[in-house]
Amino acid sequence: MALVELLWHVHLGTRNTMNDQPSLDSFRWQSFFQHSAQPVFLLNRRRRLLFANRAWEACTGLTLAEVRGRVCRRRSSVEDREEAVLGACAPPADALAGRACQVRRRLPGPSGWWEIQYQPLLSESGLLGILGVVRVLSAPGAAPPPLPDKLMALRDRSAARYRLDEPPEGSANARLFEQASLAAQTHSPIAIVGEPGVGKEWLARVIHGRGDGRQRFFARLDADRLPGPIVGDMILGHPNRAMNMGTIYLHDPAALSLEWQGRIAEFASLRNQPEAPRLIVGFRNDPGADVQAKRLLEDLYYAVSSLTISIPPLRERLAELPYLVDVFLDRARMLTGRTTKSISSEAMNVMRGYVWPNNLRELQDVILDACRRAKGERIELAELPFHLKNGPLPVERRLPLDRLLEQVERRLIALTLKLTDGNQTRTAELLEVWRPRLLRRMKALGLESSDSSS
Amino acid sequence: MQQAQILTFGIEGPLAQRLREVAEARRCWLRETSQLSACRNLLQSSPMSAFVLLLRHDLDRELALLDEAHACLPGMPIVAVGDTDHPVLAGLAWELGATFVLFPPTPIETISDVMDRILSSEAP
Repeated sequence: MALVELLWHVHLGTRNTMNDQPSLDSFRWQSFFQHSAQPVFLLNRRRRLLFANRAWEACTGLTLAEVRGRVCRRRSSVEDREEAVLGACAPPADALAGRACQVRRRLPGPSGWWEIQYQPLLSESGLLGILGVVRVLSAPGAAPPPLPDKLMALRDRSAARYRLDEPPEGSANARLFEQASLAAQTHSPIAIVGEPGVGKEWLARVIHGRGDGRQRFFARLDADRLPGPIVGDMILGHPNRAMNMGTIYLHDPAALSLEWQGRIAEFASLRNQPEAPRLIVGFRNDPGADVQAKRLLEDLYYAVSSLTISIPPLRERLAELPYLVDVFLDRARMLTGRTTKSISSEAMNVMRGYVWPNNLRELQDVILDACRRAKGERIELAELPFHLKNGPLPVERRLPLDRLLEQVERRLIALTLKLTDGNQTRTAELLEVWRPRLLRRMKALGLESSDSSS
Repeated sequence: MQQAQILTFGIEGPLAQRLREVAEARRCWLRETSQLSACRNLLQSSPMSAFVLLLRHDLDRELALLDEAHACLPGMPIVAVGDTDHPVLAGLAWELGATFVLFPPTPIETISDVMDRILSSEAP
């Protein structure tokens, strides 16, 4: 505030009226601001740019000479960078009315987001000018402060393990590949649903690695392994900003208390937070059942499930086994330094006959272990674990039609209700059923009735 | 039933004492190492319920160990501990697969709650 008062006196042309201040005659205020590491600019009451310091020039890539006297005005669409920067500096109505205020503005290019504090400079006759002090917020996708070369190389090696090469056409992995590519283009929360070990974290890392925020860090938070306040603080608090988090993968949110789930749901439903990390949520069970059992807050599920990716268990995608084995062999070679390149057809047949209750995690362990034991460049049957070689024959997979149809019906009704904001009449129309029938089915399926139409 | 094991690397002083108390309370076997090769051998030879490592002396090797432990044993909870406030290093430790990263200003007392929770949870 002293700074602003000082400037106010400078502009009024008064002499040293403040105690303990040097004579203002000899005080060069422009040089004073030039030494500020924070970008600072000064507008006259007609919003024309009078002054901007070097930090502002460095941040915007413009020089004061180029833009001095130009009007800072918000425009609906701006092509030109100069205009965009000046638009970002435009004072809000509060500042023009003589009230101090703060706004957040997006800058074009690498500068990212600014938080600008506007301080009006008032004279006896009204507004004299407006001082803007900028705090540069971490930009989405901005790189964290540089790491030493060796740590950077380690980070790159680690990230290389979480890639998704284009898989064979028509496979479940091809669908995941497409969904991950689509998800990576947005900043919306994502829900990943799948049995334990199907690779939910791996997919979350793939999405992080393909998205804008990949230069920032990725963190996995296990809600069942960490106290709620720690999980909540990492997602909602300052630590993620200090650590420059790009993506937070929250695993099994149903393990959190409903209070923390509510707070996270609120955070997830606020979409306009570009500096906040993207939230990806992994559900190990059927989230619909968790909602019904009141373990999972419906608000949280709906806040993160606008984009939901389901990963099928490995037993339902055994046709992709050769591709997955190749992926894990690559990874095992990287980790063990061994030269194992392939797997014998006998060993592959045994693997095809196994039900893989622990999914990809189990497959990775088997390949890693076999790689360590392999004597040559090929994994032989003898190198597979005992339970695989001598396990029971694959169980006959059942497809309980009624249960599957119920799941489809529940999902369809829930989605339509979401689309219509809970309006049951409209939902019944869209589903082309009578409203009483809809209500009966909702009751039977355990869907809560909160009609907004009545 | 096999006794749960906690492996530590480079942990000493009050934090080591706290971990000893946690291990005693939960009847876990605490294996404290300070040599990289010994730590790596233990990780490969027996299943651990948790791995706690200090990031201080040789960051390249310590972080590489964290990365390797997560890649080879993705289900094993890893707690990375640092003694200086270094958000970038903490961010990197999270990214390399730590289940929890304990760096200042988070107080070291937090480790007891976190270990309790980790040891009572199932594998994800």
